[in-house]
Amino acid sequence: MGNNNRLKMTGRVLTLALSAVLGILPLGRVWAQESGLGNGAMASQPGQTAQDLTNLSLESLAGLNVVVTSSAKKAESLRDATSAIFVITQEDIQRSGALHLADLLRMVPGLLVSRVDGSQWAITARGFNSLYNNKMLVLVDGRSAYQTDFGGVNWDELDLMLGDIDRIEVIRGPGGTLWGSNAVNGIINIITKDSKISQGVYATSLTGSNGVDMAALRYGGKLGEDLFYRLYAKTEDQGPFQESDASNAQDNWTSQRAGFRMDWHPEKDDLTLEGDYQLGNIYVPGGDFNASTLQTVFGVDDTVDRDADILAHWTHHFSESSDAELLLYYDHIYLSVPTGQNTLLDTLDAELQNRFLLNDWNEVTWGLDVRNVSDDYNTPTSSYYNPEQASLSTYGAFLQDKLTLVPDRLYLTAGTKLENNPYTGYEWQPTGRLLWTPDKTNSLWAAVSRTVRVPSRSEDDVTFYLAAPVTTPSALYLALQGNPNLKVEDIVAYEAGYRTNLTPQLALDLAGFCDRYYSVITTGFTFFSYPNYPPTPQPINGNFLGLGQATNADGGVIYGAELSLKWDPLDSVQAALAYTYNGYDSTLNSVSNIFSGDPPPHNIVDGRLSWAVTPQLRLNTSLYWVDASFINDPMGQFNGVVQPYAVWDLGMTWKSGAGWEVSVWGQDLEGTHAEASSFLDDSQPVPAVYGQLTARY
Amino acid sequence: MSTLKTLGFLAVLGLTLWPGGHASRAQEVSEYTVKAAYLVNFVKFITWPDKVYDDDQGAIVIGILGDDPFGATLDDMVKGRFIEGHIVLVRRFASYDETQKGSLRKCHLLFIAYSEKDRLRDILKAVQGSPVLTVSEIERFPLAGGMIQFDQEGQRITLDINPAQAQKAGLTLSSKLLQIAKIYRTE
Repeated sequence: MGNNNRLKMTGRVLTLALSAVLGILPLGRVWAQESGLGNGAMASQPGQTAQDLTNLSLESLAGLNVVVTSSAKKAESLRDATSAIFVITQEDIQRSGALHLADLLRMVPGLLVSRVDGSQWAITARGFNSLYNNKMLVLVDGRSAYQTDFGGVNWDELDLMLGDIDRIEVIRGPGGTLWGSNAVNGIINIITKDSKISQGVYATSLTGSNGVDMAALRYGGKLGEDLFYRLYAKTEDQGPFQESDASNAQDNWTSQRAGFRMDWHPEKDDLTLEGDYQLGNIYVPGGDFNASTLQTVFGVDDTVDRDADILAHWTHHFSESSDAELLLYYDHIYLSVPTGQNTLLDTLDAELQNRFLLNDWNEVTWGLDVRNVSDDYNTPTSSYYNPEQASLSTYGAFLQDKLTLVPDRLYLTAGTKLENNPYTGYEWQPTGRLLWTPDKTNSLWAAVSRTVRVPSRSEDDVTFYLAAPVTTPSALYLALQGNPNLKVEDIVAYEAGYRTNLTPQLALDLAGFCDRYYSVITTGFTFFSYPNYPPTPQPINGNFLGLGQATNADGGVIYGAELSLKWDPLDSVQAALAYTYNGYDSTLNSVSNIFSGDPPPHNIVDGRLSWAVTPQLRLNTSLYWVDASFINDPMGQFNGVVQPYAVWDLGMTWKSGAGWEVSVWGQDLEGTHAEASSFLDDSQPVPAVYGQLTARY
Repeated sequence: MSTLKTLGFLAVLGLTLWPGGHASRAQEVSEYTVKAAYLVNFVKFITWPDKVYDDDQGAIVIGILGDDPFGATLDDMVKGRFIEGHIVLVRRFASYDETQKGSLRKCHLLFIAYSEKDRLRDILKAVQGSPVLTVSEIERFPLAGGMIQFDQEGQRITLDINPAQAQKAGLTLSSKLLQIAKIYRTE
């Protein structure tokens, strides 16, 4: 605990120091402008009418700072999408009170976002809710954040600087044809800003009553005619959540990150080079099995998480309808728990993609990719990997054709991916998608796809021991064992959607889906009483041994509908509603459990309202409500229900027009509640108030 | 308690250093106000070939094709004014499919909105050979055969220009315009 407090103090001092720097720098600039300038700066005096702008010289126009909305662009590009897609824009980010990237995702229809504890999120669409959601891909500028070791995403590692995010594109449903395996229930594409549009200084500092402190600084500059860069650094402390008995959940974390991005835009090419380094200190409730005492010591692991990545992306534009892309990246993850367990993961990835018009009615896209993951799990305590080190490669190719059946009216997209993975060999992931646009405002689409989820390294190779926290009737030991004979999870997804503008102010997007799981990887348990133990795993002198082994099982059906309504009744008011319904058949209950992921809650609602009271002052509020979620335990020990819960945020933002911005937010105002359930972890977020000061210039 | 203190400190810091009193600080303008101002300004820096404007009595016509992002801003800018001795009229076309191709060729300046992204090739083909200045915010517009693209650098709106395309259409662009733009040479 002492160590813990010291960390928090450092964060606080840093935050204050940055606030002070923040305060002083822009002021100096204001003075400079007032005393020195009579030229371009006068161009935009307050109270100036639009007509006056036409009298400006071209140079003055080119020098004006604009408030960029570009909402026209983003909205339009969605109209012809043949999948359930939702885009979070920078505007949406500014109007939400989200402190962390993961919390932004609540606004997306279909997404279940639950906070497991202070630093961990379970984020899922269309079923199988789990902290280790292995059925959804997350990409940052094309770099996969999906960890093939356990199958899932560590969201705390992705807590990027929100001001430098251009947009987050969320696709629900299968994307195997373009993105490869594990894109079963969706793809979350986090796209950071081109350094060309993130020039200048952006500095922000935030402090909250729940022990949140954050400070971030970015500087963007120009190196040459078409060559831009930015540098950033961010530090944050997140205070602990509460246990249900109001005690400290000890799940606080800190994170420091820094990085750069460079963009070069010669006439026919775009070249991006970016890199990040992140150091996280995460206090995660956990248990370590001691092989000599045969006890699991439950407690808080002070996990050190060091990540580094570097990425290069080159696009060459042959013409407006033809281009080629090359993506290369290297990603390094080092996780260390003080009691011994270390994980080392090195990923190297190369992807090539080419798009061209074959003729008037065929647009062809094809691509090749290869990825190698080298891992090392040394000094094991609870999880024993066999082998301890491995270097595993996946390679694939895809081909897709978009056919114009009736110009401007009817399109068919058909394609497939063929991928070779180290566990099950070759897998096909085909899709067929039909789009009908009867007029400018209506579009209908339907799709059928096969998609697969490849077993993770742990499902294949790990033996995990746990002395279960039950003593009646007698001590129970659990061993979870990987299975090298696993097949992929195999899903056929049927989808359809409709988009329209009911009025110029009211947009509707509706998607329906039915996912048939032909195979789900789940855990089957067999119980043994001592000494009639199986020969493997290594014998334990306990009373009972529950041996769980990963197996494939028929998975049943999940179906549902996702509705998004966006309504701008006035220029100053924007409202959004997302509603999700999920249903499933009884087969699902036998395979959807705490090991494979829980069945989805039946209803999820997210409502948002943003009101520009004056051009400077904006009020924002959001309410997210999740129906009861059921928890199935195949051993029958930990069955349960997460009660329905709501997350209510309310805030206001004041922009000075001079690049300054002050925000005050109330978060989780409806009160403390549990969002997920785990027998190790009873963490609940706490209502909080925070204030934020931001400067841009 | 210490968090409250920090909050208090931030509030005091914010208030003390607040630049609110300094009213003459540069104000930000909305993106589409600046883009509309550029459109009107182009009229001053472009020379069209001598051509009869029989139906509009010498007016300069700005066409907006697709979903109009400017709204009343553009109309307010040109209302009741002469620019380079011309009245400026704004014509709106809902979409390429619902528009007579001849009426596009009668525009002096055609802004192609993002909603027409997929019809870009057809639109440029339709106005090819006519002295129509094509302007858009669709990415890589100069590469696709367009003339001027609104681009963005930091918080500023910049121009990407393909002078060869303008020349082919018989338009002359002033050197002042070319000086502030990024030039694309595609031929």
